[in-house]
Amino acid sequence: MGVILKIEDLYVDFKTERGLVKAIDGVTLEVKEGEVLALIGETGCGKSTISKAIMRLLPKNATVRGKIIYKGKNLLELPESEMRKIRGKEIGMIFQDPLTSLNPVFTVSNQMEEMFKIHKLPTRKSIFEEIVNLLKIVRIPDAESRAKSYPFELSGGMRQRVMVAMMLSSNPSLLIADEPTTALDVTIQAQIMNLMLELKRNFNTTILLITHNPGVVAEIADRVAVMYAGQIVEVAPVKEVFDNPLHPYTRSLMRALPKGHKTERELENILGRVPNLLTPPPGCRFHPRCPFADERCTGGKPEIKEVEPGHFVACYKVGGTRNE
Amino acid sequence: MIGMVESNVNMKKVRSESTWYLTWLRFKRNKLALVGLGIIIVIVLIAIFAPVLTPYSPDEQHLKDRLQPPSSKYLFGTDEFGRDLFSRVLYGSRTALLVGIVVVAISATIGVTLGLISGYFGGWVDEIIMRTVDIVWSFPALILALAIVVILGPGLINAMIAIALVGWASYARVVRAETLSVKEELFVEAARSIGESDLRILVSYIFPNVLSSILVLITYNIPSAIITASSLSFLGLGAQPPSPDWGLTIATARRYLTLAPWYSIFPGVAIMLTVLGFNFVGDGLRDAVQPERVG
Repeated sequence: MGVILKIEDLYVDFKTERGLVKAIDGVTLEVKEGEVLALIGETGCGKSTISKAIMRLLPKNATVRGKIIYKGKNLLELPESEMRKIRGKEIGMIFQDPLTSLNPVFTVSNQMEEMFKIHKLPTRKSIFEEIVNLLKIVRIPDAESRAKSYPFELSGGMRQRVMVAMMLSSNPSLLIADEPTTALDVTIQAQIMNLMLELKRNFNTTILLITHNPGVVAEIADRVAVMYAGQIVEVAPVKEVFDNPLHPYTRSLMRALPKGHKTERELENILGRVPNLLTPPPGCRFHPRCPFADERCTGGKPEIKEVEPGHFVACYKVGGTRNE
Repeated sequence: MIGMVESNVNMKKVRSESTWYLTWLRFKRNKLALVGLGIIIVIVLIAIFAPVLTPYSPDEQHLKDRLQPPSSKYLFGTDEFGRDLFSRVLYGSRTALLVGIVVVAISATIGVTLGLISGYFGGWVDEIIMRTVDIVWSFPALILALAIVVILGPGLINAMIAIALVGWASYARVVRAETLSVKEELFVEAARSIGESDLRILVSYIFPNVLSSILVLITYNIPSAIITASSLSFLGLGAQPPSPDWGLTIATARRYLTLAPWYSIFPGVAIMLTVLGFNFVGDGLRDAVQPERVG
């Protein structure tokens, strides 16, 4: 499998009134062609910042350093006009809140037409027929009349399907799904996830799934990247992350998950709190909460290393913390 | 089977009109707004059918019947040249509506464009536009319009241009504020994420979503433009004789106030009704369009 997207040493800082927020601190990550890579971490750890950095949709007060290489091109160096051709056509994006991600004054078909117009997509039939067809693929009932509906006449799940259908129209190579099911109820979550899996199977779409829901990760991800306070702490195949987490943060995170056993012990929580990114702790950003931290951890940032085949960890202590 | 088809058709009808249809449903509940709408419709009809509705031409002089009180022959009486005031007041609605429409067209075009640019791009462009708005707003509207007319020279067209050059500022400010909030909406980011250009986002995503506020502003702007134009005409800087303009008529009538009070009352009432009608509709519209963006 080739690498479709390579993020190298990415830094994102936000200028705010209270100072510089170091939101992303040296992230390096590879997304392989055809895989589902889940980016997981708690709220505010920088997951969405990474996705916006890839799309170059960060607000003006952000400064970005590093490289984001998509199919050999560094996206951060492309002129805006080239970038627009990539957005939607090459890299698609699905947002967390389907209730507000559609223009309220457009009908569904108006909205989807935009994709055809911007990227001059080829059509076999009329654009409207193509749209109805896409809506049928994402299993929207009564597609003809739904195409003429306004977003507020559709349920949240339905709207998210419209978003997926929109992405289908251009068939992007990489789909960034930023918490696509967080705002939906559980049954609809499963349907949307299945839809995305179908996409992946039928069109070999690569999916970068951003979520804080480990349940979703376990269901559809191939590999998982764990983020903490703007740094990637662990990258591994999904089974490894759940069965054999190596980074102390990942381990605490996994212990904090309800397992659904009858003999449920009390859930653990991670002591301490997420650091303030205005003044992040030096070295490994997890060290103030880490039970194994010593002076080495406060010194320099641990580099991410492949400790087992396909299993990367950024921790000085890995190996020493294996025995549970 | 037939019943099913019918119900389908009905559903579609409701659906295709959605946003505006719902606004209309809310608007309809407001009795005062409906009264206002009725007044506006009547005035528009009068302006269109003035030649049919009036017994005399507005310029036709009956020198024997000067300053006659209202009678069956002259419904609103006559002026100092024996012209039928009823005909003149009816024809005056044309000037009033013309002023309203032209002024709004110019000031809304300028104001909305600048407001969208200002709110969307921000930075120094925003700074320049908004400081200009501040300057315009620091003058009382009539005084500034007066100054502009003095520069341009008196006349109805110049008066309209002057009023528009004062009126754009409120559009710019309201549209900028709305743009600032709409541009943060997720659907704008989603639009960007599918590769839409800034221009397209402004035109198809932001503009339609601020349109309702613009409409409300327009319904308030029309009557204020009519009043300002009437005031300018009253001061001799707007419409010139022998125009049947209401403001101008009142100005002339002032000289005969004790002799022929009806002379000034009828055009005055006409202005009042027109302004009232638009303001009622404006209020109704403002209340009706607000909750529109909620999912």
